[in-house]
Amino acid sequence: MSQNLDALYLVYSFVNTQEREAELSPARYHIRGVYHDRGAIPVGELQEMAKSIIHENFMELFFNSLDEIKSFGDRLFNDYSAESLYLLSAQDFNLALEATSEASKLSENLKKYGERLVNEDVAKSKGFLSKFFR
Amino acid sequence: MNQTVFNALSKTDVVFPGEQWFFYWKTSAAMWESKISHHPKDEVLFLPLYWGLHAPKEGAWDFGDLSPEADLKRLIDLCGAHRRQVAILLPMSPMPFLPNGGMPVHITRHHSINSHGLMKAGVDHEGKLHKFYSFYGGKVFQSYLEFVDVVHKYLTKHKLHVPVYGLEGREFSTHFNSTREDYSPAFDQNFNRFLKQRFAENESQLSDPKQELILKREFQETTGELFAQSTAEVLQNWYKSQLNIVFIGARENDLMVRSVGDGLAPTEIMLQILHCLNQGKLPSSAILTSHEKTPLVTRFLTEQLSGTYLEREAKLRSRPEELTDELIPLEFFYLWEKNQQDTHNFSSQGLIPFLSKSFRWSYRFLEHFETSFLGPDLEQERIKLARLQGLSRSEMAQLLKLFLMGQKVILDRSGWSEEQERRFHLFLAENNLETQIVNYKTQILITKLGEGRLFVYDGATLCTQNKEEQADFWQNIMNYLELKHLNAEIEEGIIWCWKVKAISRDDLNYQEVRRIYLYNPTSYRKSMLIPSQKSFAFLRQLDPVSAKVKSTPHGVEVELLPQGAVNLDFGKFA
Repeated sequence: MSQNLDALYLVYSFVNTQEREAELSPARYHIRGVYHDRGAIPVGELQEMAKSIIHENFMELFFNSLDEIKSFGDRLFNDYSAESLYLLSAQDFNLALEATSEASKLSENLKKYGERLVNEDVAKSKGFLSKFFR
Repeated sequence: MNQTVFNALSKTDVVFPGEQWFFYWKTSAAMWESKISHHPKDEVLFLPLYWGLHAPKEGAWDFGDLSPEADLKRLIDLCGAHRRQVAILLPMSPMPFLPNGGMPVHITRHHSINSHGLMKAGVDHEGKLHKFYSFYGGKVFQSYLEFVDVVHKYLTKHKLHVPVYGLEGREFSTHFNSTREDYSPAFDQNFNRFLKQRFAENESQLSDPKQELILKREFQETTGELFAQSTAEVLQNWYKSQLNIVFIGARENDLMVRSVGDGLAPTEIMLQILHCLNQGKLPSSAILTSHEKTPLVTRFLTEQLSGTYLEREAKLRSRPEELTDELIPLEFFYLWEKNQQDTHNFSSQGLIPFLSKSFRWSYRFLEHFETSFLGPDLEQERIKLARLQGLSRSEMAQLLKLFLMGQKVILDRSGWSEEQERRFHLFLAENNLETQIVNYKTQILITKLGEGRLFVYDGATLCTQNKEEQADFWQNIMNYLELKHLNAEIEEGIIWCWKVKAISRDDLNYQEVRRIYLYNPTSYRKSMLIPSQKSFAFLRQLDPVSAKVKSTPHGVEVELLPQGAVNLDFGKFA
């Protein structure tokens, strides 16, 4: 599953689950998808990875907090050798989209508006190798 | 110019994005004549109107006075001068190939938002990103009607007798949602008004969030009907019907896959198109980029989508009453169920898994009952499968009439009403029909009349059986009906489908010719076997690309390299 990718983009939205379940339950974060320069990570793979972070609602990709989403980001780094992961809330995503008119420029704006998590392992190895290729 | 050459050329031509569409605003008006003269003579040109182009500012309209590219009269006249038939498509929802989804800038107020709070947008065939604006915004409906009225007056004044179709964009999703679907504040505002009117006296009914979601969908549908009805009323005789086009590449997820990622994969494009056709929907490749239209995808589009399918749906070309030399999809079954989400649906009865395995892509769900079920003679060969639950009295009567006319009809009686049951038994008695009851997995009532066969079974009982038992049930029904189909042993990853045509002068020994199309969009070499079978003879291979075909006593062996494709013809004996 390990792939060398430039960046991953995780889009999530804040969901008031009362609207869906008609019962009292806390609002949660819902991962809408994780994307990279070759496409999207299949939902089945996301569910499989989510299982190790959350024990409930992993099939629906519902997370209780942003910290859980960040832990999920670390899990993504294990399987996908990307240097960065950009977390984008619906608001961040909308700001990036608003600023874009060419599809090829969207990733630049997602990087601008998203919260960046760095994969230290990949960043270190790149730093190390760059000494040899100066 | 022949179709294949034209399609290959138009792959890189932004004016002809596919399926006979002509994006007139994408080129200088000075180039129109040259472009039109290259379009195949026997094919209709579909002109999607760009509302924003013709409404440059509030209260102003442009049909060539300001911009030559807005001169519809000249465009239609040029088509006439070159003997090209034209049809206008009038967008009634955001279009993923138009700036602002087509909406004029002066009425774009609220972004269209999906149910997860994300802004909606489309990526067109040139990689341009177009944001959608809410069709529920203030003034939008009123401005839209003004535009339709102006178009009507313009067509009348210049005596431009061209058919106009309402164009509704759809996304490839479970329910093929409209591109108009929206959950923005503009939508909420209108929805709240709708709720207040509807539940003016009983507000307590609004406390259930699930009910609210259902009502939101209902409101979206009602709005769609309002746009369509109003368009038809204003355009009068010019208006023909509504075409719901599924834009491949317009799904919520596709925005990211096609912007950040590498675009839609060939396998996905081909499967989505076949699935649309299978579900009775009209797919379009108009927004796919030249990068996504790889040589294999282009070949697939040429063979499966080009030609006349849209003209047929628009009723600009009649359906043939018998097989001709034109290849048409090989379909053994027409399926009809009022509610595909029902717990006892065809899928839960094991029918869809069975057909997907044994008759892949050779069945079709019908979108409209009356028009499609009573088709011309050619369709008598097709088995009609319907669930009686929810069918009206006249719909049920039509189905039974088909049986009397010699067709093969299979009906699921689970959930039928007392009235339907009474009418059915009355029908048997009135026509003096003898019935036979067979208990196999469920109770089946069988009736014969001449060539006609009528099966009535209980789908709910079938739902309680396991998958193997369900498959056995359907296999036995098909055996009884003596359906002849070539089964192919095909490796996973290969995309394939069948078409059929009448015999040519060289194939006089046969009843009809069936063609299988094989495409390998994977990065691996794939092999397959089409076993020799009674009643079928291998005739020829056509247009092999990176393909090896060998005819052996066991059958036809095919090897396809990555991105390879080949078509094989088989003759069917009587």
